[in-house]
Amino acid sequence: MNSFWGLVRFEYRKILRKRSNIITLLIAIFLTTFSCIGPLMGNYYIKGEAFESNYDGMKKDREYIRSMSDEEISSEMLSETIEAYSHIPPTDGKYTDTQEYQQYARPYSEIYYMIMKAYNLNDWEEIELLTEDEVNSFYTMRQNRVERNIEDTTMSSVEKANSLNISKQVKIPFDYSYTGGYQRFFSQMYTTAILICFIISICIAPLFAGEYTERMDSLILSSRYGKNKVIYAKLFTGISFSILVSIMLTLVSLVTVMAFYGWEGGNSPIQLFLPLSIHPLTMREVALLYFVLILFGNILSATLAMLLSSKLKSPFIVIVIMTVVTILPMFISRSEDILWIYHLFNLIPVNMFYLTNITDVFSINLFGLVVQPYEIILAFAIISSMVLLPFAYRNFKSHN
Amino acid sequence: MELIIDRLTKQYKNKIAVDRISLTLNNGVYGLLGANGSGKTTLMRMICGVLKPTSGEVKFNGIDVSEEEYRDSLGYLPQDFGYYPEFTAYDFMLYMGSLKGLTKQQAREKANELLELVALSDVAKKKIKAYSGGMKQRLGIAQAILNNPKILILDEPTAGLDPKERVRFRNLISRLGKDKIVLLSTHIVSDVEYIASEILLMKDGQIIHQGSLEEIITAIKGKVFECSVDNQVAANLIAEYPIINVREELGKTFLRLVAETPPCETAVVVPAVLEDLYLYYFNEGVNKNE
Amino acid sequence: MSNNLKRELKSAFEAPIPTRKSSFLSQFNYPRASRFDFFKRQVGYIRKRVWILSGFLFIGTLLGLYCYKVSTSFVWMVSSVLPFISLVSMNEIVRSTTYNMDELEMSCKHNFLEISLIRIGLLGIGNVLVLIGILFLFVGKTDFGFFRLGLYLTTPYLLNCYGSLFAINRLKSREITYVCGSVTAFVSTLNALFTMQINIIYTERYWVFWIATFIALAVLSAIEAVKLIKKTGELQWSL
Repeated sequence: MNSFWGLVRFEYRKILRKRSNIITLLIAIFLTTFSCIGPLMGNYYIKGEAFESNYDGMKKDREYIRSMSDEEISSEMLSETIEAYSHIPPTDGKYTDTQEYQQYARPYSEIYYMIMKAYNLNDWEEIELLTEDEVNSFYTMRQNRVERNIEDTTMSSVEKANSLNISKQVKIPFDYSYTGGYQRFFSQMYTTAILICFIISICIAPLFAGEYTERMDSLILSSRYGKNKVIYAKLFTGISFSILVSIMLTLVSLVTVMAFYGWEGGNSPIQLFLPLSIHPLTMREVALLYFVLILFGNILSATLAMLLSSKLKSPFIVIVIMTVVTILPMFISRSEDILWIYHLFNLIPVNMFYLTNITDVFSINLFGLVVQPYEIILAFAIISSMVLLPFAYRNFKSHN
Repeated sequence: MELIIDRLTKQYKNKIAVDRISLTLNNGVYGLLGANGSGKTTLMRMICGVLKPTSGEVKFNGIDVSEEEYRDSLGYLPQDFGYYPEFTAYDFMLYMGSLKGLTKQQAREKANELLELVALSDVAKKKIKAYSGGMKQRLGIAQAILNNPKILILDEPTAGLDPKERVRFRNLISRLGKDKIVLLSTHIVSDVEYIASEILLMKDGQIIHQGSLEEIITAIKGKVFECSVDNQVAANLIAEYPIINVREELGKTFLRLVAETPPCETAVVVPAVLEDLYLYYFNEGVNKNE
Repeated sequence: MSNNLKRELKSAFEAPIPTRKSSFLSQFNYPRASRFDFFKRQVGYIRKRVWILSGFLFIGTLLGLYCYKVSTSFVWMVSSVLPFISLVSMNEIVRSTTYNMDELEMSCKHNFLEISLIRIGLLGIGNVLVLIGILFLFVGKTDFGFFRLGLYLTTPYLLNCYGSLFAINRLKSREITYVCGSVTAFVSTLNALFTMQINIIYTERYWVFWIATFIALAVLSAIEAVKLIKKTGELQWSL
């Protein structure tokens, strides 16, 4: 057993000794950090003049929301919101540029967003047209909207029924609190996931293919452990490396975001961020689930990289293919018209990284079993990895 | 025809690879002998214009090494060269032909002729990827004479060739040496012994000996001894003299060594050969350190 | 001597085989290939993959813009593919070093310097033509003006050029293709992320940033390219 861990250590040294890999890691960490606090840099301009720095703006919003925290989103709060927005005069430009908005309406901007979504309004002026009855039945109206969304999809009746069931489990009324840190985290993690995928491609591409180009393969394959332990060690290194990098960059994102935006809000419902989500999950639960999704998506990426590395002649080709496979799906828009294509498309590792896989309205009926998209994605990632790894093993072992 | 090398020097930050070498080469075959790291390859590279000297000049019939006209008269076989992976031997010869200024027609003719000369005709259309080391080496020799050069620089040309191929090569070089300046470096003393009209011994960046075989052998004429002694005496002799050959034989040790005077009673003088000179010069440092 | 006699003599005796034939012939200067011939041959030796990829990109853009209705994300897709054109071009330029042919080529009449200049010139012109061609295809199809679109498309390409040249000038031949591949992966991924996530950078407010980056990268790339050309005069890793 000792020799196995010794071999793993060698593989890690090979990865970490390369200057290009260290540079890649450092760049990715830098980009992650920069991207987390990017929205806080610079200023917010009203009519060409700097109104406030983005950082101050975030802090101001945070204070507003904190002052309203630990209250329920009730009809009173909704009425307050509507009243605040009624102060805004009709204007040609952006309504958020008006002094009345800044003075009265801004503290309620998140509630306003929920109202717009729940009542399916398009314009801020329509908010004043809501009747008192409508305001009082906010949660019912929201639920109707959600059910309408479910109905409008092309899901089968079984799937729709399941989604409906789930949506009914959402706990109401919503406890309001500041969740800026989590919201920023959710926005950021897609970028982080892509960067993790990028690091993995670069660092894992030479795992097998590097031995081919360095002409070490015949030396290794003829050694005692060359046809078994060495290969196991390489596969283990690939998987564990992807896990470590995923954890590391997620932590960097989490800590950076929370340090600037604030740590609280873990227990609040996800509906504060996505009002029409059908899932009865808290922010913390969604964050955890998101991390798991990204983790396994990247494990699958690592497996793909290792498979390519064992089959192809040089790490260069592996990197090119992995880059294309990573970038191309980002540009292809996913249409929800033909659902099975949509769900299939989401099984590409890069598309696994979308938050909507967790929060969206879909249920999937798979041969009688009705499951959530993220459950299918996770299962697929795990099963594909387990299926593909032996091929990587065999490719290297029988390499000529 | 004269290749003049005048106080050629190549210095790196902390090492002088070639130290003010001056040579005048005419038609004929020159053998450059030296240990690894003696500066042979650096010297040859400077003669080919592949390295720029720190100081000194190289001129052929008055043309400086940096000019295109010089390179036009040059054929070079490096110690280690690669190939574009998709090329066959024939493609390779055509490519080198175009680089050397041959027309396509000329290149085709020459390629066929030379590939036949180095016995690669039947594999000419196979990819170089599939070639053995010896075949690659023969291809390298073929491309070096593609443009009928007046100067031929060959760095370790017989590496990887089997004995039969080496004999063929020696004959080829002898023929070429009649109307060309051929400078070849090698570790294989027998290559040089039979075909070089002049031998250059290089050590630590300098030419320490230059001359025909007879001339340079006089340095150790009468100084090469052979004897068979017991192991203890052998150990002492090994520590004291430059040893050319050691062989264990039935409880005794057979030694061939170089000494000013007979090293032991049973020692017998033997005719010196070039290999003795080579080992005498280039093992010196090794033996002393042991 | 009568012709009859000559004929008889010829058939009666065998003529001696000419000796010193090759040394006699080598006295003459046989016709040499011109520099232009060499140039033409070198064009043929540039691997087809560069032209094929450029062609694909151009035709793909043509089809995408004129035959199918594509969204504005098409611009970003093209800007993420352009670094790959830079990658294959760079690989072509350093082919001699990668495959260890540089020493041999340096010793030839048309030496490594000439070959490199031809490669850089041809591929540079080829790339510029593709860029301009694609730009013209985009004219009128997006919200961006010609000039701005040019900046958005060529800046990632230039970043890739600079990164690759920087690596090429400082690394040993064995690692070059891998590192250039990594540079392209980085530029392409970064570009895709920028276009998808940080749309704000493409608004008019930041155009100064784009111009400054474009000029900086162009200058830096040119400096590195000159360094590369200077290095073709001599073997770099000798000891």
